[in-house]
Amino acid sequence: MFVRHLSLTNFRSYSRLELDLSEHLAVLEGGNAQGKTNLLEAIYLLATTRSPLVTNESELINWHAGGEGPLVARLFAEVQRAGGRIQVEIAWQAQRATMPVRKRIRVNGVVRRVVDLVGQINVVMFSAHDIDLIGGAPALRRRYLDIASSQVDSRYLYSLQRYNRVLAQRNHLLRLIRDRRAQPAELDFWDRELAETGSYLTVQRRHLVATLSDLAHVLHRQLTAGGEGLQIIYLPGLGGGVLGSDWQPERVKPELEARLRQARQRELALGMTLVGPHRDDIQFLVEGVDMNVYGSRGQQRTVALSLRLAEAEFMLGRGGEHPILLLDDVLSELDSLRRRHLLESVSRYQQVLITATDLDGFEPDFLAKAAQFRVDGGTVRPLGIGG
Amino acid sequence: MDIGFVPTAQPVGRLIEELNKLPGIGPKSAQRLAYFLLRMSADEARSLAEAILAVKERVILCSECQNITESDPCLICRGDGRDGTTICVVEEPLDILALERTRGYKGLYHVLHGAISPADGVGPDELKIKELLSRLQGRPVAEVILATNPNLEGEATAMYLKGLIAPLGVRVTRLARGLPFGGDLEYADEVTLSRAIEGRQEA
Repeated sequence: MFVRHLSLTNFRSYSRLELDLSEHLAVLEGGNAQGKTNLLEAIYLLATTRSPLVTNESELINWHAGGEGPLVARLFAEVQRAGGRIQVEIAWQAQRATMPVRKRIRVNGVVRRVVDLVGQINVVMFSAHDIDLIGGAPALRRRYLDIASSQVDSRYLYSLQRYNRVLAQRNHLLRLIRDRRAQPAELDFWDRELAETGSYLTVQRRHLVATLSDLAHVLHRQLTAGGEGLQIIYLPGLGGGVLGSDWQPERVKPELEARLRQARQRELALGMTLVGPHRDDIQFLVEGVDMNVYGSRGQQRTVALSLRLAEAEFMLGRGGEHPILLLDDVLSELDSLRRRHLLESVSRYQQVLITATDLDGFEPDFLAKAAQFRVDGGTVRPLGIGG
Repeated sequence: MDIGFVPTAQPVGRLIEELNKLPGIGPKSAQRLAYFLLRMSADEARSLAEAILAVKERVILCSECQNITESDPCLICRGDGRDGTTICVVEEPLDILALERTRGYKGLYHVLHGAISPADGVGPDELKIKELLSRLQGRPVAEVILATNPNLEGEATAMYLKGLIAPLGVRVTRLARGLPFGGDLEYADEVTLSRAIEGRQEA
């Protein structure tokens, strides 16, 4: 799939932008803080409804637009998919920067929910922050798994939303029981729901990680010129071991229920749920060495790159369509071997948008086939193919 | 007549405070309403005040079904031609209005006044569950229909009630879930659709 047209209104630093894009490669060049990243962010948002950069949605609105009354930031894209064109729009409205933001989603002009939109457009975003996936906290890796899975499986997103609500209710109930304001029997429903939705998340995440591991193993060997063997391992929050290779929901669900029962006394004492996919993590091993703890910055960066390339291949295999690749200022961090390899790998995809502060990192024959754009102070000027 | 927040207008300040407690009324709306009430004629103001008092003094909960009513038992519980062997359990009084509009249901109701939600501090004891169980004692109730909302809290409530009622030998049913009437299959989300497939019936 690929974005044919992108339209931004009062979004971030843009007051207004109409941008026509075509298939294949696009290089967005410009200085720092000129709006390159926000273009990629816009496409990422249309696919996932979530910003890769901010958690407070009011920051998406261009508050300098001024005027009376509420302000609206609006994104619109026309995307070409194998089955035809689709129009997606997200609008954020708020009275003031400190007021709550109302989000409205339309697909082909019809108002839709988040769960209806996610999965319509598939993206993989490469960014300089990806190194935190390897070296950072487990929550970042769970979020990574959630975004990748939700894009190809709408039941995953539904289960995730439900799981998070069950978890919040159950934690409250555990504290009420601890304080003798509720009965332990009231846990039954929440335990069953937690096991129902949690087992689905567990099985899907395990499947995703196993697939990514196989793909990334091959990609990582190429990126390190045949050198290093990468393995990605799923560490389920329901505890390891006993399940062996039998990871079907019918097996995981009773297992999760059993472990909840075992953990109950400790859970009541602490007032929180100790077993389930909210405690999942994944581990990256290079030649058996845990990259989270022992990886050098360079190794972590290369592993992150392999992971993103694997994610793109996973989506292609799962959805049957090319995801849109967004590369946000990742080239400057890489040596020439990895840079060349990355550009070669992504060239196989239907649409790739790459931001860069200058064109030094690109081979001339790569630039010759890329559409170039100059991003400058909230304007985007097409320079044509090959610049 | 700009009164503002000067100390002499203390009753106005108090009115603003009271209005501010209402759901959906922020400080700005409360001020606007207070100044509107201030300009009302004395008769109009008295009529509004009486209406508010009447709600508190004259409207009570039906001792049978816990619905809001002026007379106890309520019109539905007293009604002729209602089937006393079926009780439909709902979360809120408004749900009864919705079900009554269908004109298809002839049984009785029971209002829980909420749904189980630990995060909001609502457990079984906060709901009218004891009252429901005592209605089932020694009376020929054949079926209890659980018509709580199809969300997590409504389901938790239904599941809890089923655990209490089924052992009494009473049939417990749940409202069907699935496609909205007049909807297009094409536009149904996958979760709704898979629920509808699970809950399919003989054609």
